Amino acid sequence: MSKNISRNLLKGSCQAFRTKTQQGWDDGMNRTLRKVVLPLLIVVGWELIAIAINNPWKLPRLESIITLVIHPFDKLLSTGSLLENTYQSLYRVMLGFGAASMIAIPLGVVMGWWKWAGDFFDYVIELLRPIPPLAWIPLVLAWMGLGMRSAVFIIFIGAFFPILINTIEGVKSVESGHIELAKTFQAKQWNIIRTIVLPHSAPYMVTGMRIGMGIAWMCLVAAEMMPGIAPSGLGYLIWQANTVGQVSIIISGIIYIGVVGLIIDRSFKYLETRQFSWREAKG
Amino acid sequence: MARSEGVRTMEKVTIKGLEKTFFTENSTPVTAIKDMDLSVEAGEFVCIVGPSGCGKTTFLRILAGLEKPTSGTIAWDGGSSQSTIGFVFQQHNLLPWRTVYGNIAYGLELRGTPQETRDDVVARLVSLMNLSGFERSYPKELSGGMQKRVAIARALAIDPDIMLMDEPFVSLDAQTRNILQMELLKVWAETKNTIVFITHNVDEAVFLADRVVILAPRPTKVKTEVPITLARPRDRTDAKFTAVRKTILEQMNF
Repeated sequence: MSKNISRNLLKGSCQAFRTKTQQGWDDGMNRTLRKVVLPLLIVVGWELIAIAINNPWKLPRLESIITLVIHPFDKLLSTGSLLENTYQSLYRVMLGFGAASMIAIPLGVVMGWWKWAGDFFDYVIELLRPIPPLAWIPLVLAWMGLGMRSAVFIIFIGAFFPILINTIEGVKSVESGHIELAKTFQAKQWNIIRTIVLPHSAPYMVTGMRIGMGIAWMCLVAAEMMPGIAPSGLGYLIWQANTVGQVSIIISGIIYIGVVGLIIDRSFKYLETRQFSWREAKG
Repeated sequence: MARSEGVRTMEKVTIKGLEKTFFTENSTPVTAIKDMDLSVEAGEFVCIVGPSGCGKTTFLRILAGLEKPTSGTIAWDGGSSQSTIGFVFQQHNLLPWRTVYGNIAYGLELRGTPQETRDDVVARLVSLMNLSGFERSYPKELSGGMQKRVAIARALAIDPDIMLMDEPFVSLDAQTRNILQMELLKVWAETKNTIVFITHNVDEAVFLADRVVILAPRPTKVKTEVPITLARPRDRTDAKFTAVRKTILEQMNF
């Protein structure tokens, strides 16, 4: 009798499981559908409006943009192809971002670990942090003049603070138990930093780098629109296209900026979840 | 663990006149430990019992060098001031970014032990602590009992002069706790370590210890000591076991 009941229960739960997974699959499909509805509507709406107003200087037809986007090697205006300009932009971002990482991470570790260092830098950092990177442009031009260095410096400022702040937070959130563990093994301070502090705060650093990279990428376009910057880069291309009223090139440039930014962001996200899978689920 | 079976004094550690005074936030001194004397013999398994919040943990932390005593002396092996310590924390305190292998090898790495020796030590401890097949797992993938085993193996890996265990089994369910107690005794018989084990569980103390030290509450000092002469392996249901348990409970005024 009881055997029967348990068998029925088991059967029941199996059925429940099956319908549940079935439902889950349907939900997944529904969600995907819901997500693509708006982009499709925008594309269709765009094309309809573009045909209606029939003015490529205001809203070019999708075909002209797509043609540009899928021909990344074609020379545009006087600045080179989309891909060359993307490369130039990436190069500048990597310089500024790399310099920001190389300074912000060690500084963040020092500020987070030694209280006196944190106090020493605290006011200056707090004062500089809220300033929008672009507000520095006139000053940077006065100091460094027109050219590559100024653009890179603006990007540097944009990336610097998120990396610094996240690194400090990571170092400060080290568990005291882990430090005590190292001490029971008579670890020296450097070994505590190397084996406890750095691995613990590594995910925080990567999060800071992801955010910093996002801001750096946003600063880039503005930096490249500055007068006299080396005549290349997606920001420069957009600016040039603007002066000659080539809206389809402007939009193509914007699409490239968006896609490259997305790829970079996803790469960091992948690094965060993949490389630091040891992290316990927060909950 | 290449244990050097050299000449050893009988006393592993001798504590005399230990005192610890904390200062609260409004600078009021609070004496947690006062006039505490205790000595532990080499190879001895000592359990320290006492009511919650009586400074058991503080005492162990002072022994481990994590806190400084206000006054009093701690003499290791009859004189030296330092000693290698294997500390097992109340929480497992494993490093989440290291695998089981990496956690057990951690102390050895800090001491600069060569890779081959590390591999040997870890392999032996993995089999001793029934962790085979989990060397590459991360702490979050393990059960509470397994995490504790790794924590114990990590402490054993450096071949410590003394194992200091701070209520290590408190967070485990009763069954796992009993299993780990038996495993700990097995390990102790094999490694001949000196163990100071803190617990508030009298049953656990009587099951494990050569000697149970009962602490008096604040300021903490040794109230009395009860040697446990019951033959091993001990049977919890035995009348003698229950009798010893009763004696200790009475001493603790429960």
